[in-house]
Amino acid sequence: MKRIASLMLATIFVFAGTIFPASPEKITVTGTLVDTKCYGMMAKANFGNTHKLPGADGKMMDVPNCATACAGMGIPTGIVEGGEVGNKTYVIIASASALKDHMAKEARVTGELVFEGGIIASKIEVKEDGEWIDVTPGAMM
Amino acid sequence: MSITSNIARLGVPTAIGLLFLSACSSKPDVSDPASTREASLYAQGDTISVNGLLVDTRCFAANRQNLGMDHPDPVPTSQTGPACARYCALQGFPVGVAVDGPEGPVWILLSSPQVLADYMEQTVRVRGVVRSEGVLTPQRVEMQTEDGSWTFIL
Repeated sequence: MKRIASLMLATIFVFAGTIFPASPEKITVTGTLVDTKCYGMMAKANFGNTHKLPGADGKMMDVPNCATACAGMGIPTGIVEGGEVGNKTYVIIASASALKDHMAKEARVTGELVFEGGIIASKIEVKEDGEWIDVTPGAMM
Repeated sequence: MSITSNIARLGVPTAIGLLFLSACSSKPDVSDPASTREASLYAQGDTISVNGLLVDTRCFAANRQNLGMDHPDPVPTSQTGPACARYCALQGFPVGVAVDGPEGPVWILLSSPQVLADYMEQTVRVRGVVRSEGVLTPQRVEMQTEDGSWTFIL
């Protein structure tokens, strides 16, 4: 009887891991905030807030505050890990327009990696004057 | 039979179970997330086409039953009433394409979610450029109509 009980106990432990699916991976990424659309087109040129885009004459022109404008239009914001062009970029599942004033800043995003390349952010911070400032949009939860 | 031997007999299978449990629920080292990712199926820059339902990534990520327009388990807890997906897209949460239903992969679309807010829950066909695994810059978005044909929406 006791042997059966102990076997049942062991079985419960073994299957507990499959009954309750693993929760999404928790992650903290430190890097630079980018507008994913322009950065995706020309990463090096469009890493900051001023972007290079083709003008009417076909020549490349500087567009100041382009990242801010794109985020303000709702283009998803991303964070480039480590703040170096070409590194892994995560799309931040949050309202982009709420982050428009922080584009190209050093940021720290804490959340859950729910999709490949997408973070549900529970906390978004940017570095200003050497200090981390919480800029998490109010309607996140 | 002494209590000590009973504990010993129960303890061995329990310990085995715990080992299995920890193995099942173990997570990769998140200190270096890039190192834990599998190689991408798609190369960056590939142009691909994906079909699926247009979803609000915020609510869908929290509960995969939040697949339609009205969500049984909305994330912004203050959000009540119908058309949660539209509400989230209008708020600016990125929109995605859920391929193969609730358990399938999701492609996050790098476009303005507000523009697609009126098409949430619709079956769409998106042609776009892969930015990374699961992330797509759409070049063309079409919606399937009732007669099965496709109509251009973006």
